[in-house]
Amino acid sequence: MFGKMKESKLTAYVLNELSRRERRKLEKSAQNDSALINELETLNKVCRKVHAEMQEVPLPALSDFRRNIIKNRLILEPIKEGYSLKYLLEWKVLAPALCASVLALVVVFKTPVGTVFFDNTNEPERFATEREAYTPVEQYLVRDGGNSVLPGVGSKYLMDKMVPDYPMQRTKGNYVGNSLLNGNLNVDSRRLNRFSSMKLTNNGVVGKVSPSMPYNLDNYDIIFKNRTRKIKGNASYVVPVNLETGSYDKVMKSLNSNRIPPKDNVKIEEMVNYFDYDYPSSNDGAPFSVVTEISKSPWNDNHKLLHIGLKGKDIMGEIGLARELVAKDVKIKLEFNPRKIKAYRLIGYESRRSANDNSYHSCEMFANELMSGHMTTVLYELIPVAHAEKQLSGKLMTLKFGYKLPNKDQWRILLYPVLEKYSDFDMTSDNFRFSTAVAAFGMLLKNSDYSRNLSFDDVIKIAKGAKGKDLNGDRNDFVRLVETASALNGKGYR
Amino acid sequence: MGTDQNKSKQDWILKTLDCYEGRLVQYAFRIVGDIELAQDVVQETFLQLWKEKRAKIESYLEQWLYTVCRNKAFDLKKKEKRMFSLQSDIDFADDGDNSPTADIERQEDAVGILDVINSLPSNQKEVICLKFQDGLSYKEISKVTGLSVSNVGFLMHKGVKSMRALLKKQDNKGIAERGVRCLAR
Repeated sequence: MFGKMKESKLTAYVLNELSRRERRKLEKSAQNDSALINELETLNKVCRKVHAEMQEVPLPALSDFRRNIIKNRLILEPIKEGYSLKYLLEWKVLAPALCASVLALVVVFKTPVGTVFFDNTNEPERFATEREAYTPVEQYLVRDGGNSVLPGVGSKYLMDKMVPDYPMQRTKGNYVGNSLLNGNLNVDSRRLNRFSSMKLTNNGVVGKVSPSMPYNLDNYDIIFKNRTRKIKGNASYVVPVNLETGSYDKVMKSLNSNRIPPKDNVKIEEMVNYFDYDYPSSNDGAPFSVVTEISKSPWNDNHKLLHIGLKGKDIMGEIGLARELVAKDVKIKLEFNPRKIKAYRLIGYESRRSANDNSYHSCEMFANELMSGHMTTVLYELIPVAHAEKQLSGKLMTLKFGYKLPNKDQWRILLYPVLEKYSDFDMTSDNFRFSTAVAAFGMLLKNSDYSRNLSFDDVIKIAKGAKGKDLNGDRNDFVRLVETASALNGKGYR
Repeated sequence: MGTDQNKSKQDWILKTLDCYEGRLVQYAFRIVGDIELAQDVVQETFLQLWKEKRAKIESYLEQWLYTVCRNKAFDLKKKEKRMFSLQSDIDFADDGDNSPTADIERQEDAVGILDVINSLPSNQKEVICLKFQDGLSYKEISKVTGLSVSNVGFLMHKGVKSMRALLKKQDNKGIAERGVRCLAR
């Protein structure tokens, strides 16, 4: 088609797989050949699309038990010859027995309030055998979680979860591992640069397409739109805990001077977290409290909305409430039940997935410190499995909280099973409805596809009915802000 | 081997595991067609990694992992004599719930492209996945699969062409749909 050029060379060019010489040659012949340029542009578009789609496929994980085999069996006998499949099959047989023995110990130590507390460091003799067999994972705390949790589920639930986890330190194949990988590129930057025109070659030479080319590929920035993801298998995802609120100030500033804020300034997660919510304080020893609530999504009747509220324990200091560190390295992980939840979308956090911030995928970013009294709110839009009603009720998901106490280096884990218990939207708490209104407002400002069934008036209505105590008048101000936006929108400023 | 050395190798193995676990399980799964077996393969791969000298393979770690994983997967498949169908690939296939209400537009797109990938001949599918999902270069893919680099390029191109045809079809449809949506606003 294009002279002597093999068509597969064009694909190779777009994927940056040509040698420098071949690339130059192709670019030269493209200069006077608009058909060739068109062809390259099309191929580039296709490749980007395919890449984007494939990056969305959630990756399966190795079970924790297998991780422990990899880690621990080999501590004991690292240089031992051959781990045949047969050998591993024996391990499979051994696994339930080991689980059962650990479980037995747990039941013995179950405290009357339904709290199970493991502390390997304080119980060296008793847990010696488990420590040999498993990672030295530290402490397990399994608790009832108030309204949203099956009462008394603690010990029973623990049965499923008995194999000590490798807590929260895992991402699904997106770990940023500078030093341990070959060459100068870490995994993430490599993933991101995969189709960009810049690529470090084996000998460290940077190849680059001439910027004067009309089909300049430099602009290929991978934007991870915050899309709905399908749940496959036993899905689990790490949730960021965001503690910044600067975006709301920017939005306020724009609207107060009668301008619709630029979309880039609208960060839904920061807007939602600008507000204080009426979360209960932890009163049972845990450094923070957790509330969850699920209801219908106001912008899509078929979808549900999950609200997760987290609040650092109030510490009474000498001068009233002092801000003190109550937990560090706080990480939230969600494990969805794929038989109940078909797909989910984390609301907000779009910009954190941009190419410039590949740490989003790295657990390291979640080295979040939780101060006393501090609140974090996370919203998820969920698509339930259509025929789930007919199935027996059960867990929608499990929230796993990993954290460390301020002066300790041990991980602690809190598990919260979330039951399939939907409230009517009008019956939800002010927390739920107000945070929903803020998120919806953000979506409208961003002109998000997801907000199509919603108007500013809807947001105003929801927010007005969810002001709560509103001690500092923030929520009232919010309603005014939405009214301003609505008026501007009416004048066609969008 | 001293304990310190052992510990640092263990750390290295675990970090490598963190990096590649998901991608390798999925890769193995595409070959063996069973998630448990795929996990077996990856577990075996990492146990093999313990036996290798780190200094020796570190410079081509990714390629090493994919190659070993692939060989083990094909060995296992042979041993198990399991017939598997690429169409049953749970990661790519729809999960059986096709109710139109629960679907959203973007997902329909996603199913489309992944469906096309799924329907490709297995050698095309493999190179496409290694490139677009796992980020391997042609050269690395050639080393892993034993195909020549130009053969990889050829298969890649055929695969991309198939997807291009699909996207073209979707585009035509999409323009019509978008028009309707604009009117609705």
